[in-house]
Amino acid sequence: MSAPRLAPDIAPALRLDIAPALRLGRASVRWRPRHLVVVGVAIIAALAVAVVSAGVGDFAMSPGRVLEVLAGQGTRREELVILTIRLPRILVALVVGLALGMSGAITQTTARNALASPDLLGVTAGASVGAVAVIVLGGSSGQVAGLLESIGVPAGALVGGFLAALLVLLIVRRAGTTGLQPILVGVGVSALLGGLVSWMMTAASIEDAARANVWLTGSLNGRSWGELWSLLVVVAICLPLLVPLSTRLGTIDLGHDVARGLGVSLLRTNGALLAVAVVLASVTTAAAGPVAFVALVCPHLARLASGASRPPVFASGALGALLVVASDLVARTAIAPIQIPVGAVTALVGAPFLLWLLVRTRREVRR
Amino acid sequence: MAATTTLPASRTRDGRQLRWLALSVLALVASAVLGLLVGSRGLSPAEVLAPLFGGDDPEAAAILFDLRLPRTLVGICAGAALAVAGALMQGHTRNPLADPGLLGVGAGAALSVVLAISLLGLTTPLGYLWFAFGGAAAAAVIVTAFGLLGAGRRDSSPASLVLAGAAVTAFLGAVTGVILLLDTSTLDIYRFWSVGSLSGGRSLDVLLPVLPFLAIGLAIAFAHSSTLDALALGDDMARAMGRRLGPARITGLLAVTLLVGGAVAISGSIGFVGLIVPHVVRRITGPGHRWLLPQCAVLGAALVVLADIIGRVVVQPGELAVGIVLGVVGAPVFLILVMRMRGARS
Amino acid sequence: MRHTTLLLTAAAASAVLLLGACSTGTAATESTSVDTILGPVAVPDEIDSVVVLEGRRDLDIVLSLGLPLVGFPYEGPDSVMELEAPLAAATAAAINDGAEELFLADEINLEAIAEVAPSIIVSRVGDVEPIIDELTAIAPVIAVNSNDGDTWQNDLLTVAEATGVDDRADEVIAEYDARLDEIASTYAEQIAATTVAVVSYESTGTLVQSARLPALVLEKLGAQFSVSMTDAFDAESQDMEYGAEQTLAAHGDAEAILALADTSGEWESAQADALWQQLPAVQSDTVVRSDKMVNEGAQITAMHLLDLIEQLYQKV
Repeated sequence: MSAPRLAPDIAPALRLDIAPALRLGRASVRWRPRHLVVVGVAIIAALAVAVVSAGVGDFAMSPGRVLEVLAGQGTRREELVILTIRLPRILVALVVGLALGMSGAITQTTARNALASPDLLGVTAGASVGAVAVIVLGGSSGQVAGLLESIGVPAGALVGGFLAALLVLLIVRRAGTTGLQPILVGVGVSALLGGLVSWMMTAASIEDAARANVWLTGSLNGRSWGELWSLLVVVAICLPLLVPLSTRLGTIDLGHDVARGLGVSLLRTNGALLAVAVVLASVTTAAAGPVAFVALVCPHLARLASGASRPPVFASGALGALLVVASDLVARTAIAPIQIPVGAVTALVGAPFLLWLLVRTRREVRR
Repeated sequence: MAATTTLPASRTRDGRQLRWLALSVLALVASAVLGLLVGSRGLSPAEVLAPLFGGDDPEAAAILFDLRLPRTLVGICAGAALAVAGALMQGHTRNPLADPGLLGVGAGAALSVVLAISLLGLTTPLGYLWFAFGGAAAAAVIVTAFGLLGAGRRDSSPASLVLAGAAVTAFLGAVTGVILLLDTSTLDIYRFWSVGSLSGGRSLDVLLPVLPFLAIGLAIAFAHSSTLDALALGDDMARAMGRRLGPARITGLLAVTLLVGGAVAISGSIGFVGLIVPHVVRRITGPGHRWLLPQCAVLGAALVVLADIIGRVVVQPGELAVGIVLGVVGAPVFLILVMRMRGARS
Repeated sequence: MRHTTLLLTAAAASAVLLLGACSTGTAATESTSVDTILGPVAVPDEIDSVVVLEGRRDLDIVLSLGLPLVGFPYEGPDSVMELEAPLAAATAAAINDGAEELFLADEINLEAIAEVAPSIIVSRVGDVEPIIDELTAIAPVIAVNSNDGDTWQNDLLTVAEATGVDDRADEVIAEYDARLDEIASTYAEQIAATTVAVVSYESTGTLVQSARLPALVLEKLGAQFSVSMTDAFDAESQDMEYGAEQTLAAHGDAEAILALADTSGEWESAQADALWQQLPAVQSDTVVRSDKMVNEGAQITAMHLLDLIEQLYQKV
């Protein structure tokens, strides 16, 4: 299980990503220590930030105290603040980041495109349309309560996300799949759907519009156990599906022809992968609104950190969790006591990152 | 000495295009007249037009001169500007889904308007006119700069432009969203601006200062047509034909900035016009920009005026903003257009 | 760890509710059960601090009852509204006594509320319902309904009953009733003989709302309404929207107008609007200007509104 040695004069020029494999019966998985380290570090960091974040706020507590409260030794007020107010929100942040990171990694690998991400491909916009439609049509005094909120809004977002993805696929098939055409199509569809949301907001009453405006920026405020449940259920369903699928991602990454030659059914695999990516992106939009740029940025960071040739799915998810929970911390405390929506923070950070990426990878926009 | 001479193909084609253009202008004039005659206050044509001939009904005079005439003119200018800008964007990015809003101009104008309302208390279209224009122009400049910076590879220039636009739009949108959150009363005023409307204080005072910019933008666009035709063949071909890409891009984007900045300043961000009109016009004129751009201008103007008229009559005695009508009509039309798109466009 | 946390939360929540119900700990020893729209609520007998979430009717009620306000929503740096709000003076006094702007009306900061640990929370049903669980964990919530049906007097009495200041409530309501009767009798002639309308002037046209405070108060006074007002009363949504062209036609029969224009820009547009200037009421200068802040509120706003109405009928 040792890496093959290459002649010294070739080695520096040719750095082959050859890693040993672990075999168990008929299944085999590559042993990539650096990747595992990245996942581990990211998860630990995310949890650490989560604990710190639980202690930060108007009612401040040290991380040690936070852990004690979580173990059941807090005063009534501490438990109120941590368990009822902050914890659900932080957990939602972690899961949203996880889902978005994974969704972005899948999309980038499947589309073989360094800049593909659910937000740029219109899925997030479609999910927004679905969710806002439910909010605006279902709210009587501008509020969506109870069952409608915990099931109706995610369902609407899922439907919207899928319809948007279908629309983009349809247009891409007709308009051409060369180069960055899919991205341009996605941006166009996003703009279209964004206009649709603005239209719905204007047609609704001002109360609905104000609430929809907040929702549209991507906010974790007021997120409680209700949103967490629907989100967890969906992600918990997707994760086991992803394990076998992600092993095929490596094959797909070799190119369509090679993948076909290796016997991977492209249509089914790509279809399944994209479906999972759309579901993950849509359900996070339903829970927290459209949180932009996480799905774009994390796969790149994960790829750079683990030195892989394609964005690793779980590392990307872990980094996504870290990014969102950190952004939420900033959003809550930047101009306290006023809370900024977390989507605003990720956009303020992610947009310059995208611009930097654009300028830096000018030679390899297409992988 | 043949009894019949065949005219060169280009002359018959030009003749046909000229006829189409004349037809379009007629349609525009008809729409404009309709715009003067029809409105949420149902007056008979005689009553409405009486003030033109010295009638003394003050209500009709107010409706005609203060309301219908300015909004028709604003609609014509905004529609023409947006349609031509859309054609320019689609020509430069070689992408049928390009829309002037992709350059971030809408987001830039929105942020400037929100800042003007919330920090300076300028709450009328005349008040924040130059902010809207300036914000749109600034955003376009930033997006263009990043787009050109990111355009190392030959073909990635349009793509990087669009991506830079998406990034800048998201960034500015986030800032706008936070400001609106902090100042709730601004949301009310901003909301109606953001959907695009021809009413609401848009008098000639709002149009006239911006008219020169629109005129210059149109002039640059029309002069730019042959370059656009060359660009449509691909960057390599265009270079081979002697066009210099850098200056061409900058000229095109300058024209788009002037047109969209002006349109947004006078009417808020009206969507779909820049996206749909070039498609429809292309079916009539073909891809040649020499005829495409003027036709776009005329038909874009007619579309906006007609949409405004529809908005004035469907929910009497109230009115629907033109942006809403275009949204309702535009989205399905866009989908139909997309379904009918044939072949791949590179 | 997740399961443990969930069990802990359930335990904590039920402990909090039990504690709240039995009122051991720092709260008062007794509490009253009050019926609100969202069900019965156990309110402590000693009210040290109150937080409101929305800033209009709830704030008005709390201020007029003289309850110890500690937190209310943040409206914005300089509002674009030109006129001073009816609640401005009372709010300034409350701020002097220690009230604070704690959070945005649209992004309610639960932590900030928990931090001040109020005795009760008062707000609208619509704002409260989505986060009722979290709010109840912080303090008992008295929900009032400011749309459909419930008049502000009912809401005022609900809160007063819950907080034990019934006398004060009766006082302020009596003050309002007295003022109402005073105007009704002093201007009886004018009220009976003048067609009145409440018109919101906006950039896109005019709006008449019959379910809001001004229309309801005028109705109480027995005012004669213009056609646009009666149409609004009959309309399903209780309002009528008119495009800019309709301004003269819609309100041409109103002899007195209470004009609501929020910003200086809108008011200036009204002055420049030829159709508005042709309105009989405008030409005879029987117009009183206010803004949308009088559409919603309780006793303080209603008293302010009565002043405006008196001004209007004085001009007739």
